[in-house]
Amino acid sequence: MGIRCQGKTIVIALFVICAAAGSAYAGISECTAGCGDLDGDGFATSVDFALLNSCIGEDPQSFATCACADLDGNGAIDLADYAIFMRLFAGVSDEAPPDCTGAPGTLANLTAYRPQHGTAYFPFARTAVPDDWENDEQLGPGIRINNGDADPSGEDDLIEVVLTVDPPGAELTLRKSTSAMTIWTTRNKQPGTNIVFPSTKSVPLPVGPTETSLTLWVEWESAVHGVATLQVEPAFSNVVKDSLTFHTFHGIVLALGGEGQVPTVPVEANSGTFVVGTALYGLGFDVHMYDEDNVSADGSGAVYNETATAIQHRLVDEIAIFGYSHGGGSTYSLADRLDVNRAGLGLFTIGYTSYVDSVRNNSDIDVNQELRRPPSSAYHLNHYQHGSFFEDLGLDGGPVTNSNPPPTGLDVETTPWGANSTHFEVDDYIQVRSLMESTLTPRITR
Amino acid sequence: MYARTLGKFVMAALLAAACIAAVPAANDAIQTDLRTIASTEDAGAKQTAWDRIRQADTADRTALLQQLAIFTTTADNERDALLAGTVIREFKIPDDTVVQALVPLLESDDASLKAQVGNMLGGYEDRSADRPPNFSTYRAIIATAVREDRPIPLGLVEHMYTVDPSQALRTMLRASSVHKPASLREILMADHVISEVLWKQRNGFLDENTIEPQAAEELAKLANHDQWWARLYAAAIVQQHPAFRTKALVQRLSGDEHPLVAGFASVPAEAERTSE
Repeated sequence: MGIRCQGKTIVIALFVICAAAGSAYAGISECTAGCGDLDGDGFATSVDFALLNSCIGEDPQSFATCACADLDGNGAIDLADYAIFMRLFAGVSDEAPPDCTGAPGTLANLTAYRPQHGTAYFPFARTAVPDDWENDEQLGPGIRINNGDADPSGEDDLIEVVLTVDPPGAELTLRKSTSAMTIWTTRNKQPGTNIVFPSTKSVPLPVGPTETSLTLWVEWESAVHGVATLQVEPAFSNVVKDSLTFHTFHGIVLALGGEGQVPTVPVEANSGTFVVGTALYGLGFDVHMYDEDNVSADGSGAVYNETATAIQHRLVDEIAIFGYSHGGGSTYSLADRLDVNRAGLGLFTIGYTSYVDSVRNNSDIDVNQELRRPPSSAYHLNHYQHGSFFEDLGLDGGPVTNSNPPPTGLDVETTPWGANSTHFEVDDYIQVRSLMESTLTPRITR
Repeated sequence: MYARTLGKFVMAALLAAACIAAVPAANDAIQTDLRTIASTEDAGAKQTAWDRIRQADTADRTALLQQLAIFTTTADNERDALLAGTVIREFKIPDDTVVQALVPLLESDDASLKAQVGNMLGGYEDRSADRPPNFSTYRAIIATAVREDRPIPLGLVEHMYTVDPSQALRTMLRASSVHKPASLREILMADHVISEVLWKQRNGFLDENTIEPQAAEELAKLANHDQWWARLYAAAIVQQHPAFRTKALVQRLSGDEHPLVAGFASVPAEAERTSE
């Protein structure tokens, strides 16, 4: 935006600076902001009002912000401009100087959703990214790289974005900061349904004359990681109505339930693994939740295939795996297979693993403790209790060398909250779930 | 063509007859006791049920193990699912005894029971990502059947080829008493060449969609082998590794006179993602 030179009381002092800036002010008479938005922040606020006041009576060509103050373009900054500004105050106009009339602008909002799985969102509910996080590069909308993806679960790597508009049928466009993103109006990329971008700005969006919303699907086509913004603007101005900041997923989180536990929507409170997985999904991680039977004793199966695809085609390089009971045994088997097959898979780290009362999973009836640390895990968290036959069939995990809390994990029965725990409730303690979330979050990039 | 179709029919009929004979029905008393142990909060009732299960073990351990498999098939929660393992652990039942009791259930025509038993047997096969499964107990079972001129348990054969075609082929090779070095070498070389391609795919030396011509030739040889269990290897490879699937091979194998061969070739399994 350059140096701003404005305000009667500082004009003389700044004149020297501005004059010294020389050619930097060659384009000073051009106003690129919307009506009433003298400082270019997208809104007509008290700051703009102060700027307008400072420009009253000035030549619109004198300073950049004063060029934006000549709202009606009559060559003078006067009470007519003041009247137009007052109509725009606190609102967002779609017009741009010198043709401001004070007409209220279109309202437009973009809402992004967390990633899909297969043909819809299951095993999660459709989850919107909160407004406050829409432009956060970690908590905001994550997107999977979809370059050459074999998509074993179907075309599920596009991110849903819903545009709502008022009044109905408003003529709006999108602006994107990278050509890596492609925008579609169909989730499975039907021919002819991509939004055309002649430049960084799209053609007008196909919002019907009576329609108040449009569902868009965002795809990251490039084979390179990145961060990019998607903005909605009126067709004939650059006023930003709303924006989203996408980041490509570097990490994948795999949650494996215990024997007989399957992911549900809404999540069952007594399936602690899936409660943690659902919470992490809401926090922006690319979480995949499974019945642990999807990992066979040699680590192969649907979970391995999904992970291999993530590494090879989505350039995911950080992996977290956690599981309860047999899901802990499957955590070991999966980590082992990933580690064995590194030469064919590509570069990745298993940045985080966690067991809760882990039982080996060589078969559905395996009741042996899983005491082996997952191979090549950078950080392993371990929770366990002591089983007794008539309470919980004697099922339990146990200490795992080189785990956290050091040295072998936490025997929850040594804590006030976990005393007399059984195998069937140990995964549900909020203390267990909280420690899992707080230890995973800093170790895996979203 | 007629002979081949008839052969299939006879084979299927024999198989069905064997299944009916081999698989026991659920014993209601034992099933009820097992459910009581798994789910009741009443310690007295639980102890009584446990004592009866212990008596059932003493009376007929094989029957109890088979009832445990049937119970596990109906499990819909973790307690029920893991009870069988707990009973086996508490009674200190040797692995070999469990396997010998469960294998006949693979001949069942109940798909869910077969799948559950296959899963349970997996726990006794020492499966791992970095070594092949151990089928030595199965080899002894099949070798005994061959030696005594009894039908080979096809459910068990199907299970082995589903888990690991290469180990299954080697197991059948030894159990079937093939002793001529040339015959042995022919099959071993084919498996070696094909396994090497799979190893190269897994470790990134070959694209997962690419195979070497020699491997295709060896697979074609096995697809036309005299021994049905060698053709079954070809069918299992074609099923599990799409890179080996050709229209001609699938046509040849899915029309095979042996129902297992035809079955494997007709149903492609989900392939494992391997190389970049």
